[in-house]
Amino acid sequence: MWKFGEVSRRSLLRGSGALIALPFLEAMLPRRAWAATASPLRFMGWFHANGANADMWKPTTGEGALGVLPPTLAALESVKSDLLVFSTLKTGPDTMGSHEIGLKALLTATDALIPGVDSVDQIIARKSASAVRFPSIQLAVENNGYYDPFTAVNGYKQYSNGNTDTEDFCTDSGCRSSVVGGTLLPNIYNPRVVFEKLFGTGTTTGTDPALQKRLRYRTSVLDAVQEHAKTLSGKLGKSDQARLDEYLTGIRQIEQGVTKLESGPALGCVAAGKPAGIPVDNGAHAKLLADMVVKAFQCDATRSVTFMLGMVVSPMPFIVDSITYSHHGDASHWEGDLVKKHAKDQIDLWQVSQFAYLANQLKQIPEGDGTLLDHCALFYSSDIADPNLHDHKNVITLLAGKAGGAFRTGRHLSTSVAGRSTGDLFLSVLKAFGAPQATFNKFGVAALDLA
Amino acid sequence: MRTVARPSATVCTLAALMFLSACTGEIFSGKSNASCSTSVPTLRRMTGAEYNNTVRDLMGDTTLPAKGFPADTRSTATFSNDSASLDLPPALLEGYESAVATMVESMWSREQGLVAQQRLVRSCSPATGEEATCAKEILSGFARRAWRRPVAEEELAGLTGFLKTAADEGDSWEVGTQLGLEAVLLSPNFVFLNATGGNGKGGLSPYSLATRLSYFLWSSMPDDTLSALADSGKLADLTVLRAQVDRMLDDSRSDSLVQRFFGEWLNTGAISGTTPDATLFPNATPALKVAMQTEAEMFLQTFLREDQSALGVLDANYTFVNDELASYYGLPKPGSGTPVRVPLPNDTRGGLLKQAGILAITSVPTRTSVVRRGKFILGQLLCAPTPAPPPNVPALPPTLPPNSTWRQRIEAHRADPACSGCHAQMDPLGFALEHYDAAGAWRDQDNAQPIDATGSFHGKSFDGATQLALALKADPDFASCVVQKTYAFALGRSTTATDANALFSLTAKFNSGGNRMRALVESIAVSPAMTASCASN
Repeated sequence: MWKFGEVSRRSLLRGSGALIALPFLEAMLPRRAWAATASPLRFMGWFHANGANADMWKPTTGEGALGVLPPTLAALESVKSDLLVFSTLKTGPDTMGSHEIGLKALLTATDALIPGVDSVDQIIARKSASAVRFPSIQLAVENNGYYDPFTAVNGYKQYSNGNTDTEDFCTDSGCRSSVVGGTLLPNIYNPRVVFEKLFGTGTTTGTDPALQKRLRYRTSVLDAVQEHAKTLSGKLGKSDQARLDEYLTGIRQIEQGVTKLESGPALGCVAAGKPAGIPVDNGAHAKLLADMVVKAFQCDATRSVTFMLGMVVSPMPFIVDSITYSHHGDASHWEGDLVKKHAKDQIDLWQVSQFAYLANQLKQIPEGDGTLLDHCALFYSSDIADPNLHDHKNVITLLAGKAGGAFRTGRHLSTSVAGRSTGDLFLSVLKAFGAPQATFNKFGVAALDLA
Repeated sequence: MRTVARPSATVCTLAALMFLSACTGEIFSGKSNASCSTSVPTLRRMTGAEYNNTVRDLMGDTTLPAKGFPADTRSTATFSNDSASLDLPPALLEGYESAVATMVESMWSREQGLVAQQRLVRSCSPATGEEATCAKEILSGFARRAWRRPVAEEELAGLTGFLKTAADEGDSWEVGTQLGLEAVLLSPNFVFLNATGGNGKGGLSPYSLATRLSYFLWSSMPDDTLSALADSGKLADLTVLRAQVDRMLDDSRSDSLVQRFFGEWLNTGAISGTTPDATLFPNATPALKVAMQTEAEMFLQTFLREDQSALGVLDANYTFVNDELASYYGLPKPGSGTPVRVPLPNDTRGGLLKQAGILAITSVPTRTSVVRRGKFILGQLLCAPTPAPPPNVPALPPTLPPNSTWRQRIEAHRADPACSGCHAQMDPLGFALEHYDAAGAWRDQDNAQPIDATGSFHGKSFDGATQLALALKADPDFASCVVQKTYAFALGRSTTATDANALFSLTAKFNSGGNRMRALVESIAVSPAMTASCASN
């Protein structure tokens, strides 16, 4: 929205038809410099399970600068100046809400995962694919079925570090948030697996002749198996061909990665301490994953991450005041029972705290003329708004990080975005990331002005 | 004031109707296209577990490399080997690529120290000048086993070409051979179990048949015996095929059926990881939970190893306990730390539904869940999965008289017309198991009130778990569910309407032969769905 006294840098550029050096104008602050920024932008989509009680998370101060943070958001105090709190956005359809629809819409802003639908993180992944080793990474803490008596699936958190830690007991639409072409991408749960993926052994550099030779060997093996696939493809029907294409896509992606390693700078990005496996404690688990996200962002190994603390209808057990609550079944549907409501509030405080930890870590790392957090857009939202009502209006929604200056943070946005959708928010994110779109899936119709 | 939107009664009633139709035998009225269309091959990759087993049998790798792969996904209604869910995300290919290099390298040095008979891959150690011949021998033998079919001359030429690749870099034949081995393992011919497809003439190639059989019964690759029978063409002979099924079931590799088939069907793999509240159920120690899982697995295994009726799963009068579990059950200690088979003196225990492990995984941490138990019986034992609850599930009634039992709370909830449609089916099944607490221990009271374990299903009333088991045993849906689950696992896909005739005749045969599990496995193994191929290729 244009405001008197402010000059949009874009409005200066519009019509000029070329990128030209412009004088630095104070009035343009804090907008992001239009020309290339030195630091890449990183996106993260974070899932908060089972909604949150509005009386505890909504700022009472109204539109404008963030004052004292509400109780649920208290852990974000140290990154308050990097924060946008949205209290009036909708995330899904206006009709009867549901956890499942809410999760589907979390990063897609649509209620139906049909072919052609990509989530916002995947659009960013595609844009940055040539620059990073991993276009995107999907992480989750809760690898679970449901404890809840009213929901669909038997299951449990696979705490053991034994044989079964690769098994995923989640159903697709219940525990995944990243979408390519209408298909949900699987999450990785095990911090050890994430570590090995991101950092490998972390001991060699790109200029090592032995490594260079190994990379050439890898390329020749990858070439050979592509030939095998071609021989096979002549014999296949249509659906089998599609599956073989998945195989070939993966192999080609590895080959591109190898090429990048051959030509790229030294890897040089070594994280300390390889995790042993999946911690039993969910907080410790989340922290390990968050630490690796920080490192991956810092090393520019990826620019797009999704992070699911819980899953849809999360039953993750919590002890509040010595009572064990199933998050969904016991606490979120508190319906008049203030003891249960208190439990839900404590659980939400915990959820936000895990996010705050990550944002704080990013803020500790200097990058360019600011911090790593300044070059991030960390999106935080939930499947539903009110834990009892299951609606999708006024869902707890946060953005942390200035996205390189595109977002003017430290504010509570309420009346100015009333009734708008997270799809509109994603349009603003995509614009900031240099991938502007006119619309975004079903609910994104016009970008929010976050500058 | 906050109002709670409630789903219309129609939602639940509709869902209930759909669910009812799923167990009225309607499936058999679907159009069926004989045996052919049931076995259209679809490229299916190995599951993580199959990958681990395969590299163990192929090259002696016991590191379980699939632990580093992205998780396979599975819903409770399907098996992990369901072709439809086995996608290949890029991260999986990355996992394969990094695993094959590690596996080949460690195999190469491991076999260096082994005598010839113990070697699985390095079949020769060349004298100077014979390196190329030896490399070719190693690569051709390995590719034959890894790809589960003969290797064409031009394919082999491609693999031996890596000797030149290595030589050009100044490296030895050993490096070149290892690169060839890596290519064999990363190849789609290894990754996809049915990459060869059928011959399009209604008969499956003997190699594909051997592969189907071994991944059904062993979750692993065919062994030399099976491969030799495929090579000679004798496997197509039904007598030979039956004998192979018997041999394979007796082989320890068929333990995979306990882990994968029973474990995924009945969720027994979840038992040791279940989490009854430690304060409320202090006796449910980690060691006890392991014993519970072993009990269920050893119990189910008897139905594969011994020639007895599968209906005994519901009420067999024996079980497997160690000292700790025996005390938990109030049985005499067998004097063993590992579970051993014991007869049961009364009907407090006996059959899967009275085993503590199953009772625990169908509970929530702090209490029993008649809903989950009912859902388990309907979905897993009767193949009539309950539809997902509608959105906006109302909460349990907040105010109840003190000293009410959980049953009373659930019944109050069920009085809500929005939910009674579905819960009227699930809850009365679960109520019959109320004498067992959330950790599977026997109890006479809930919240200081006497237990009411009466329930009903399909118009049949019962009181307690023993009568419930009898009712289920008499229900034809249980036996046909056993058939349906075995069939789906055998073929690595969900059943569809086109399978109706095949399932019908398999079930009839199963029933008339005394519902024996081994006979069922054999019938499926020799059935057209398994042996025929109507490939589109």
